[in-house]
Amino acid sequence: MAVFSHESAERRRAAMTGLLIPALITGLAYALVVGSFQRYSWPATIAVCIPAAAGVIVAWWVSAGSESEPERLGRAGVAAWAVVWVGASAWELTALYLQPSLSTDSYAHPTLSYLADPVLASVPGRAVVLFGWLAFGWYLARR
Amino acid sequence: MSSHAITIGGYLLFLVLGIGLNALAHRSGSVIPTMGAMFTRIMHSRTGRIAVVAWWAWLGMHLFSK
Repeated sequence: MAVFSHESAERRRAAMTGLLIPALITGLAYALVVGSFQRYSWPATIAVCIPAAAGVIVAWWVSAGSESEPERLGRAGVAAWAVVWVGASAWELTALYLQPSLSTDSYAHPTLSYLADPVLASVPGRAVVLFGWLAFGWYLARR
Repeated sequence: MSSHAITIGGYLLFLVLGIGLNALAHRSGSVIPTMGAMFTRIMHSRTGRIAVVAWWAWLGMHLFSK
């Protein structure tokens, strides 16, 4: 199958575009079913670990490079993105370490996972986040 | 202003910066790469690809798994 072959990235993207509708339907069904599972339960753990592990295995296996070099990125632009990503990561880590302990949430210094808790407490919230997570994985697989 | 509000304000600031940067990147002649171009560049190497996908996998497991 072209998506999982060692062909160029461009061919992989073209093949993935052809699979978009089935992937959308599967992703929606997955999000609705797995979203109905309680967080941190064994069914949720297994259901999330399967696509997560598959993603890493496919990333390992698929040829990452296209035949052409990707566009060269300017230093200023890369630095600007680094400020955003490193800054956001540092902000999150600061909030994490300002908690009473690593496993105790803090209202005063909320981490992103703490802020996501109210959304993930409901089935629709979990389904939407799961679908978004899968969609982000799809987006990354097209890179 | 409370620590809670400052912390959330920081997250929102980085979110707005990221959205703004991506919007600037889409303007013609921009020297700033889009976020997609950044991911494409990072994921061009096998190491970068596995690192990014492992981060994505961790994100899902962190939110839902035991």
